[in-house]
Amino acid sequence: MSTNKRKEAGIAEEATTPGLYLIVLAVSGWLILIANLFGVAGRSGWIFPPVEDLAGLAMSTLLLAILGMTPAALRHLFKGKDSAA
Amino acid sequence: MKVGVYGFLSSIHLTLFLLTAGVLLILFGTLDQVQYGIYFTQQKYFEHVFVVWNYPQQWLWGEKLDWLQIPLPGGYLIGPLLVINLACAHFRYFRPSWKKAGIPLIHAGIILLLLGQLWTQLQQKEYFLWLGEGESKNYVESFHYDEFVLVEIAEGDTRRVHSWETRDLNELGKVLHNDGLPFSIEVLWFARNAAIFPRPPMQPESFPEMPFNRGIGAERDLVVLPQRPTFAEGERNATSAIVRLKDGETEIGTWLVSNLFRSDPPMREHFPIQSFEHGGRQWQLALRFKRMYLPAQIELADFRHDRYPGTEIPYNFSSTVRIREPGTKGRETLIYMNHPLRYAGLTFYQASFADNDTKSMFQVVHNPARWVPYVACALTTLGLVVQFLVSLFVHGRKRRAPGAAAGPEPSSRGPEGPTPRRGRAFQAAILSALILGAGLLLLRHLQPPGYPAGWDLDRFARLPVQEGGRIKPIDTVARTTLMMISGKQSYSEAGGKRVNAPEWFAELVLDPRTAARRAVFRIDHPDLVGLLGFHNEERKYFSMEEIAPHFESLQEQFRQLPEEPRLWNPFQKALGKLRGSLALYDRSASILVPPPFFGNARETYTMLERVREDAASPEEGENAANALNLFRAQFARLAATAHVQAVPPLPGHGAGGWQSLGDSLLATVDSGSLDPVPAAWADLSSAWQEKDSVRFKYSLERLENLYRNRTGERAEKTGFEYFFNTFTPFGAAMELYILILIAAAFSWMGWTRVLARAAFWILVVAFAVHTFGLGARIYIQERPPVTNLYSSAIFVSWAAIPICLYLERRYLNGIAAAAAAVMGFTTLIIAHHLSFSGDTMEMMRAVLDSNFWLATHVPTVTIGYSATFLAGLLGAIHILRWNLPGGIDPQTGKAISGMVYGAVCFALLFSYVGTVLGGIWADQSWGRFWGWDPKENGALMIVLWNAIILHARWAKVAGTTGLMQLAVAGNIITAWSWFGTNMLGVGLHSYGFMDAAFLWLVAFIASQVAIILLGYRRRHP
Repeated sequence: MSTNKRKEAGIAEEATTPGLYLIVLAVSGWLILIANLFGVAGRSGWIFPPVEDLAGLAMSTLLLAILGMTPAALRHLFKGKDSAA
Repeated sequence: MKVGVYGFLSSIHLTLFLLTAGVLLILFGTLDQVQYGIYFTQQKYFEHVFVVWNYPQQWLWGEKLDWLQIPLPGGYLIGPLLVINLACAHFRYFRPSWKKAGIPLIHAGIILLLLGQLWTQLQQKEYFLWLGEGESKNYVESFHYDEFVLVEIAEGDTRRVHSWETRDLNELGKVLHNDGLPFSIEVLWFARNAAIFPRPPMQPESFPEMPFNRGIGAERDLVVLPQRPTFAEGERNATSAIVRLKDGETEIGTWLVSNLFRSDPPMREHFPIQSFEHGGRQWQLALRFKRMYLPAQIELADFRHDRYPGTEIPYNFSSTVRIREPGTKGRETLIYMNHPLRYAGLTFYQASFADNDTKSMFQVVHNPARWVPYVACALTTLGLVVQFLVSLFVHGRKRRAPGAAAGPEPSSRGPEGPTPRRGRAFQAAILSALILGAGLLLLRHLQPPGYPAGWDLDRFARLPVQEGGRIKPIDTVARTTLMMISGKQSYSEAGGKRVNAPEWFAELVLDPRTAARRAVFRIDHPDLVGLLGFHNEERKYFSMEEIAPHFESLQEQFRQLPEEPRLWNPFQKALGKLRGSLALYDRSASILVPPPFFGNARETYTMLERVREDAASPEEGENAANALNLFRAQFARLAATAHVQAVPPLPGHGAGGWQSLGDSLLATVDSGSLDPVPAAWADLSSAWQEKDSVRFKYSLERLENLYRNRTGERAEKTGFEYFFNTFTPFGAAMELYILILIAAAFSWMGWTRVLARAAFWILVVAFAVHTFGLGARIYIQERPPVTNLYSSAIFVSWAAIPICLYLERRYLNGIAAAAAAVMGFTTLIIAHHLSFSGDTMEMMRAVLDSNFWLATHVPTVTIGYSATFLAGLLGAIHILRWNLPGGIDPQTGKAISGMVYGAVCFALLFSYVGTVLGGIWADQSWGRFWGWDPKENGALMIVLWNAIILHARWAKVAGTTGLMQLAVAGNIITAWSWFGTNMLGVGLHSYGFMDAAFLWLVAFIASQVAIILLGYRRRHP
């Protein structure tokens, strides 16, 4: 399957941009998580918000990272198959 | 690829990310306002570097998904980064040229706006001032902050106040000192919110021992327990603390202090001021709302709350206040809606009232940065206008340049006709046929409504009455009433005969017994139909005669309805609707003639006259007096429930003064003279009941003369309104839009030019009709075009049509015409559904009663909505056509892309200017430019989203399909801003939760998401 055909089939190049944004959000989540784990969040006032459910935040950031990487991973997957062919 | 820090900071990709993050931040910040209120959410989202949004428990699957959190960059990260990004990008990329003359102005304005917002957030403070009539104060109190104070009362009642912020109390065990205080204060306990109550006599030991030994807490054996802080709008936390005062090592005492112990009524009665004596001096201590002292005493001289006649709709809240500075006589000033008092760097605006209109509340705002948005917005608007004009000029010059294409050739597929000559004739025939069809359609609407012959019901329908504070023809009342009861402006009888609203209404008010047989009550819920004893019935309309035997069981069900309509299930909603319809029917039946207490109305009046005569005679006096009291009670009930005033004042009685039938008859009971208007209505009623059309005409003529003499110019528009109602311009426009859509859709299959041309010309006609409707509303209401959600729906599509006409004229491919048709039809359908709740030309509430702002901010921001919707619709047409068999030819694709780009530029300009005008209105009225109200946030999201689309195109992040997808996503954001924000029940623009509209909104958003996903299916080559 050629690149053009795959693109026509629906693998959107532009879909990676929202994916990248989700990864940035996930990174923000990890920063907040670390700040909370080290007790900085409460004291920093206006920088990091204190979070009660740290496990939930960890899971959420992981989910965001996975969702964010999905479009790029799909592109990479198809690119690999293309070059192998 | 190596990207330096400067490169990163000046990158357009960073701009795009920050704008997108801004949209997300505002969206989640708006959603959280439902739980946490505007103030707390504003702090959480816009005054932090990072934010975490939690999935609300009350949402769908909330208990399972409450772990879900979305971390976001906060306002303190996005704002400064945007400033840096803009500045860096400007210095890195900007090359001065006259073609980009507007860009530096736009960038400077945005940077100044962002810095100004930061300054405002740091400096703005909001207070309130409650004053009863005759009361004066020299301080205002904070809405959100408290302070702990010790007041030293010296000789001559001079007071010295020592105060601490509540954050000083937050550290347990902290010892507070102050210069000149002979003792120290130790904080033993502090709660941001607490419950305070007397120790219950039963099981007193189940509550902990309290450490305080002096003051109210000890005297009344109070118990204080910490509570979760509340964030609800209008509620305040009961901040409380236990403090120990010590003179050296000697304890003076331990007190409970709380902001619940207030000095204003009714709290003063429950909790007197806590005071003690120490060192030969009197002291007071309190934890109270933080105060700011003024350089003068403010006294409330008078408060007014005026309503439109016969309604509870306020048209004026105003307070006369006296400002008394020391050593001066003072001055008097009036504070009313949209006209605040600016004094001592503060803005006092009318915010609320209480105690039977004797107490007035002012919101007081201190904002030293209030001038910044004015300068910033002037710069940006000037830049946008300059850039827009320069682009237009450049574009026009390119088109006029020799050798330039005369405009895009209309794309065409399919046969244009067999031969040029025959083809031209054929095209002319199609064009003529379609335009003739449109003309016939219009003629149908211009036909007068069909009434029973010989009864002159059109004259009856033109008679003026007053309802909702406005003088309108009976026709409008009839249509609104039937619409609210049955969902239509006419109904069909069993034999299929169509009965118009005025005919039904005439029967209802003149002969309610016969009208009770008409099946006009729409009941949709099968269980409610079953409750009325109609099992397995497929019909939805029922008559009063069918419902009346079940009143008892219905009353029982009505009593069980929860008070909060938001909690109603579908059955309860149907019950609630039926309850409203029955009440409206009952009220409407007796607005012109009284219920048949004695035979008919004529006989009732004769009986009243006799009873009055008897009351004057000594023999019958007591019985007659009792009978008169019975009349009085009946008429008082009529007056209390009347929503229509049908008796105009006598000539020379000035403006206003319309009376309801009940009020007029109550006056008759006392004076003995029956007003000729109710008497004539009674004659009309008996003529109708006796089917005497000659007497009916005579009585009608008498009524017309009476109304003409009494109302004069005030009712001159009722005839025009009657024509407007019968013409139904928006209904006609809807039918024309369907015709346009059909012509445009067929143009894509063949005969492109001729069908597109037909669509264009019918669109011109539809626009004229739509404009007439809009103009008629403006003339009748004497208001600018957009005054409520209904009129915004009409205006949204109207504003898009000129753009569509321009685009269709230029490209002649049926696409802009189709977009106009879809938009026109859809928004008019939305408007039609919004009209179910009553008269769409209701009087303006006091806060909105400003024709200047209604004529500037509201239409401008609505044009912004309109253009954003148009761009989204064109994007959707592109994606859908691309996915249809045959796809879309490159020329048409390019044309649509150009249209979308133009519409987005237009949308950005108008949504920005409209939002800025809204901010200026807010500042002029309330002393603050921006309040993070959901509607304001929605408007800002539209501005940001349009900026994202343009930057994505400039950065080449989005190709043609990407541009279309972003434009379609703009539909979601605009729909959210237009309707979604109103459903949150938060802020100044909240019109209540409309669950039916909510489902439609969700469906619309789902459809737009589906179109966006469809865009990924096939790509442009």
